[in-house]
Amino acid sequence: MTPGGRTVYVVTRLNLVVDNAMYDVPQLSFHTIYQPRTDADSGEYRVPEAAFADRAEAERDARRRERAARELLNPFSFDYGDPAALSSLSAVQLRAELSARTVAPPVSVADSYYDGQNLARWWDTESANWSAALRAELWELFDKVKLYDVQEVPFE
Amino acid sequence: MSESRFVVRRLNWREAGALFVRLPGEVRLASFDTFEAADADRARREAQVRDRVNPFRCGTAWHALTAFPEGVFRDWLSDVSLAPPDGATLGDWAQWWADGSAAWPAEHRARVWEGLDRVRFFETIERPASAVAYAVMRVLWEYNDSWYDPGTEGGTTVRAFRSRERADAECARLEAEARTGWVDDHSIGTQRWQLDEWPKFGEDTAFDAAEALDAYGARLFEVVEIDVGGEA
Repeated sequence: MTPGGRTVYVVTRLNLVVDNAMYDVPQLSFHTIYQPRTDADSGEYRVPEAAFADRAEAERDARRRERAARELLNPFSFDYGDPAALSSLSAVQLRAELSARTVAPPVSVADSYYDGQNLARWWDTESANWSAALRAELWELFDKVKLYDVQEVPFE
Repeated sequence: MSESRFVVRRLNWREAGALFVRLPGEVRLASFDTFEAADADRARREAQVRDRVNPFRCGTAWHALTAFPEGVFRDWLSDVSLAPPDGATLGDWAQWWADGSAAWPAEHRARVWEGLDRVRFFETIERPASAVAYAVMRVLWEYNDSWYDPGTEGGTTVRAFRSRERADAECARLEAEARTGWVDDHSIGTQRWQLDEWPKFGEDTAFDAAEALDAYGARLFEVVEIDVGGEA
């Protein structure tokens, strides 16, 4: 990347924005740029948090930060709780996995917006009764929600 | 043994309508040689925010506010003869605070904040003095159909440095270069740089380029202090 120079692996976090505060559980989204001022303004709003010489070490750190961040977040507060946007599992599979490990989530309703809000309220209420290990295990189901990444940059 | 520094960080609370929600992330504000000095700074900042925020609006569920179950929190308040609200929703508690807290003795308000142990806006952490680097980050500007907006935080990291001085110099060089290419065709939002006064209530503000960049401190590049792990 830098001729003759060093690089470093920087752990970065995606900036989150409150997308819709009108819901009981405010809706969050990753900050996406729709109309960049110039081409150079394209990309993702990422906040650098840590640097490592070794990529594997940086990726381990990113996973630790991801897990800590999840303790503050409700997965159903993203994308209006739409399972297709949150998980590689189907909506039916996701409910089945959640039901197998917790107090069953609310019965599915046809309107996806209400369904998402019901699930967000359910997580908001119930998750405090789960162990941290169970919350982490359940969060693994939401594999499309990822805040942390590793980026290689020149280092002096 | 590596020398330590004590760092005061602002936790990442964001406005969400009438509420505040805590999101992942922290912002380093200051560092000190001793824990006592850092924690005094943290306490001063915490007190300033507490004067302006209703604690019962800091979260969407009771467990986000305190480790106490609601009934235990009521009992906690009874120790200082503070009568809780009749209702038990967060909205009831927020109204109770809004209606009465300004007239309470300071120790009663402090009792409430102490019991709401998960509503904290700043923290003090100890870090090895050597475990710090500085990332130079390009601020990304978006046209939001009214003005150019820099987002609340983040951008694209372009380079990292061990030395603060070298990071600042590179940031200044890139800033000057980018300023020459700035076309002053829309106003500029500066709210990102007003977060030092968090939470700043009121309207977003926007200025022309000269005012925003020169007078209000809007930046096209920033230096962000980051952790260093391993042998970086």
